This record gives sequence, C-alpha cells and structure tokens, in this order.
Amino acid sequence: MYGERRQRIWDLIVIGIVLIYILLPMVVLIEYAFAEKWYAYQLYPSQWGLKWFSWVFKHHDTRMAFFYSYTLAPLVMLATLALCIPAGYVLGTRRTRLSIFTENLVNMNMALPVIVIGIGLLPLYTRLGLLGNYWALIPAHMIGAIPYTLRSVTAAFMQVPRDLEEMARVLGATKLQVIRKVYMPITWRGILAGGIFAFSWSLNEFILTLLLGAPAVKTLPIAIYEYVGGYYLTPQPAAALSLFILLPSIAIALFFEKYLQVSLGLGGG
Amino acid sequence: MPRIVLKDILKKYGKVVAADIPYLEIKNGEFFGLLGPSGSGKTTTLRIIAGLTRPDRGRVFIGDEDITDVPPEKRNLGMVFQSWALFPHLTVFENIAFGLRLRKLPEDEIRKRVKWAAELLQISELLNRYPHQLSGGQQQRVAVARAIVLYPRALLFDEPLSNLDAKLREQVRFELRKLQKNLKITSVYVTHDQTEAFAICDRIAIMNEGRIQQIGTPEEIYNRPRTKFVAEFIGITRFIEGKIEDIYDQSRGLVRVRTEDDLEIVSWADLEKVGRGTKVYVAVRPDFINLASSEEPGPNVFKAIVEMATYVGDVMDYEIRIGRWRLRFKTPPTYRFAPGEEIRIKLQEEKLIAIPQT
Repeated sequence: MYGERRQRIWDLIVIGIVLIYILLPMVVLIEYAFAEKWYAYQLYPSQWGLKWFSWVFKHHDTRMAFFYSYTLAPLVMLATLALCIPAGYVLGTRRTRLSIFTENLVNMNMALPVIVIGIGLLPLYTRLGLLGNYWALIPAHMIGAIPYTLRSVTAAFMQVPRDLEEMARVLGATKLQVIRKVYMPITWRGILAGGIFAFSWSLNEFILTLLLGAPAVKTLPIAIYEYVGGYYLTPQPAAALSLFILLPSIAIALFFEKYLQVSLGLGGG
Repeated sequence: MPRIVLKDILKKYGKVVAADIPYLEIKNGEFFGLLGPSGSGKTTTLRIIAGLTRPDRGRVFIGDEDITDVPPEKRNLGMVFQSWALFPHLTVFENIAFGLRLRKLPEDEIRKRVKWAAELLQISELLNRYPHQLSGGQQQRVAVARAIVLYPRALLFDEPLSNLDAKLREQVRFELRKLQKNLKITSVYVTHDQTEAFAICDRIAIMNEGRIQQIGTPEEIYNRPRTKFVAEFIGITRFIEGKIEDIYDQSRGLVRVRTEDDLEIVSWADLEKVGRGTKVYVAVRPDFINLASSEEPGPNVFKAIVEMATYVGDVMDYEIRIGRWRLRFKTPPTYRFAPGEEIRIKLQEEKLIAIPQT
C-alpha cells in the first residue's frame, strides 16, 4: 500500500512538470496580452483589458499580417493534402523499396533545420524573381509541412488491409469507387490530422517567410517578432497577437479531439 | 450456372512458375477444390479466375464468354477471402449491401436481398453490428452472405475457414457444402487442408509448383493417386521402392514388385503406365494394412517389427518395419503391441498403389 502511494506521488510530480512546462508560457502570454497596468513589483496585473488588441489592430502592417497568415494556412493545407493524399496512398499501400526510401528521405527532412532549406531557396527565389511573392510562399511552407502530413496520411493508408481493395473490386467497384467507398471512409481521420499539421505549420512558419517573403509579405509570426525584436521592446502587443496564433491551434486541437471521439463512438455502435 | 474453363494459362513471378495450366474445366454447378501446399499455385489460379491477377498467357472463360480482359468488377463473381475482408466502417447490413449499392439497385430490392442472404446464413440479428463486434464464425458468415447476395455467376473461396478454430471449421464445412448444393452455384474452393477439401468438394485438383498433378473425386484421389506427390500429400503415406517383376493378375490390375532386399509385394498398378521392369514406389497407408493370422493364405503376408507404439485415444498408432521399410499402421486400442515385438501383417494388394518412378 505504502509503495503504491509513493508511486502515485511520483506520477503526479512527473505529470506536473510536463503540465507546468506546457502551460507556464501560455499563462504568461495571456497575462501580458490582457494586462493594461502591471508594475514590476506586482505578481499579477492590477488592471485587465483589451487595450493591446485594439492597439495592434490599428496598425496596417498587423492587419495585413492577419490576412496573410489566415489565407496562407488554408491554402498550404489544401495544397499539401492534394500532394500527400495520392503520395500517401502509394507509400501506404505499396511497400516497395522505393517507397521506403522515399519515406526515409522525407522523414529526414523533419530533422533538417529550416534555415538550411531557406538558404538553399533564397538564391533560387531570387533568380526566379519570386522574393516577396505571396503565392510563392505556399510551396515554401509546404516543404516543412509535407513530412508531417505525409506521415499521417501514409499511416492512415497503411492501416487499410490490402484485401479490402480487392474485395471491393470483386464486388463491383471501379478503382475510383474503391477510393471513395473504401479508402476515404477509413482514412479520413488520418487525412484530417495531416491537414491540421499542415495548417498549423503554415501558421507557425517564421524563418522561410522572413527570408523569402519579408518585407513585402509579413505574416503574424513576423509581425510579432517585430514587436519584440525590432527597434523597441513591446511584449504586450506581441502577446496579444500571439493569441491569434495560439487560439486557432487550440480550437482545432479541441475540435479535432472531440470530432474524433464522436466518430469513434459512432463506430462502436 | 455456367462452367469455368481455363485454357493454356501461364503465370510467372520472375523465374518462378506460379501457375501453368494447359486446360482446366470446372463443371456447371460443381463444387471444385484446388488443394495443395502453400506456394503450389492454387491461390494464383483462383485470383486469375477472379481477375485480381493477370495471367501472362492463356484465356479464362465463364460459360462461353471470354473474360480474360474483363476487369474484376465486371465479372460478377462472389468471393470469400481467408481474412474475410469485411469493411470495418460499415455495418453488417451495409457490408452485405455493398455490391448491390454499386449496382444501383432500388432500396427495397436491396433490403429484400440482404434479408434473404442474412436468413440463409442465420445472421439476421447481426445486421446492425459492426465487423469488430462479431466473432470469427459470424464474420465468416457475413463474408459468405456478401458473396451470394449478388447472385454471382460463380463463387470463389480462398481458404475461408483457416481462421476458425478446429471445431467450428468442421461444422461450417458441411454448412458450406449444403449451401452450395442448394444454390447450385459453380464454386471453386482453395485450401491446403485435405479433410476440408474432401468434405466439401465434388472434385479436386491437386496442385504442386504451379501445376495440376491430378484431378478427380476425393475417392479417386485417395485410392488411385497417379504421382508420388499426390500419394504423399494425401493421408499418411509410406513408400516401398522396387521393380515390377511380372503381371500377377491382369484382370484385377495387379503386379508383382520385388524390392532390393528381396521382398515380394503384390500391388495394384495402372497397367497402361507400367510394365515388366518398371521401377515403382509402392504407396502404403495405415488402412492398407491388416493384422494377419499365422496361416493367412495368399501374398503380401509379412513379419513386421514394432518400432514405436503411440496411444492416441481412439486408435493405437504404430511405426513398424518390414525388411528395411518403415510403415505406419493403426489398430483399435484393444490391441497393444510393445516396441520390439514381432507381428504378422497383410498388405491388401488391391489397395496398394505402385506408382512409376520418374
């Protein structure tokens, strides 16, 4: 009994550390974003409000950053999925040596520092005259997003037994119908997850956007950076802006979690 | 229901011959078995009929229609896989209705047909469940219902019972056979299990290394195997090697075989294939051997040494030796011979099969 209790205390400590690690920056962020008066000797702000939000919205640059970030993310998501669904189908259903090699290569990309890719792309974009081009940021964002999306989509397709495709064919389904009636209903969760990876990658993308898009195209992360890393240090508007990256991510995560469980419940009958 | 004909079929994977079938006819309404060890080409043959594998050469016919170039979805065949391949995201009802919906049948026709198939396989109360909520036996029934609901031109089974436990497998065998006889659908059944093939099929093709070794009814296959492979694959078979000395009885097809260690054995042989001097394997199965009394007349009475005795419940299973040849022999458990004991046995000459050595 005694050992069991001690075990539980240890479990709580371990989990607690993880929770603090994840939550502390968010708590500070929210405090800063809503603090209108907060003196250095105070533990908590003495006056809360939305001042910084109206403050950031007054700036044209920030408003454009909103526009760029929130249009780029869905576009990157769609483009990445358009590429990764057929690719994931091939990689997931035909485990040839070429597929496994491709998978390893793509996974390696995850470990590659983005700055390295950026330095590679910079001269290329310069030559092609694509610097500062909004549309050209889509493929740049996709480079980082693809490994995550492809992994998720490939895993989803790998879970579909090969037999099902053949069975459906014998039962009268054309190749196209097999995709619609067998693969899609079974893999949509993995595909959705892959899409969300791409969406949040694009929303978070900083280095490539800075190298290839700025100063003509500045997304939210760059706008935030300019508040804290530019000529003057203003953490409060930066915090307020950051919430606009944080909130969609949290909303998507919650929605996803809930939707996933709802559908699992349905599956369980 | 139409017959199925394969003509001049060849399928190779690299240098390996997966299927090489000059001619095979599966008769109208017949339950036909493809039996062989793994890698013998039985599944490849079935997949060629289904259209899931394209042969390198040859034609496939159903009835008079050449379906070689018809894609699987246009062949209107029913198939049951070893894994049953139920769609995990669909209920039992929708699994069975899958092919009907693809054919865009009216809703009430779909309901009627699913109901019919479900009743036939006694799964009517499972229609709202999902596959993962079913036992193996229930899943297998759903897979069969899904295959027959299309009123297919033929039914193809690919080891549909190997994932069931032994007891259930035995019961389902008879049900499958009854179902097929009622529906009279030409059916092809792939298995590596001899008893399963014997219990279910009207005729069986024994396959090895992509080729058909012999086609026949279960009795023909068991009693008159034409090659050593077939004799060895079916039942517990031991061989005695020798040379045909002369014809012992022309009318009964019996020959006299002499072994190197000078035993004289009278055996049945196909007199069209063998003659004096032919080297043969004489196939001996446990049920070809009787205990003999000391003054038993006629040929094939030998002294045998018991080498090993095993009690397996309903029978005693012996390993015995005559000359230098080891045989298997079974008796009711009321007989008990100990290892080392000498017994007299008679090999039943009508049952022994002398197969030419090649």
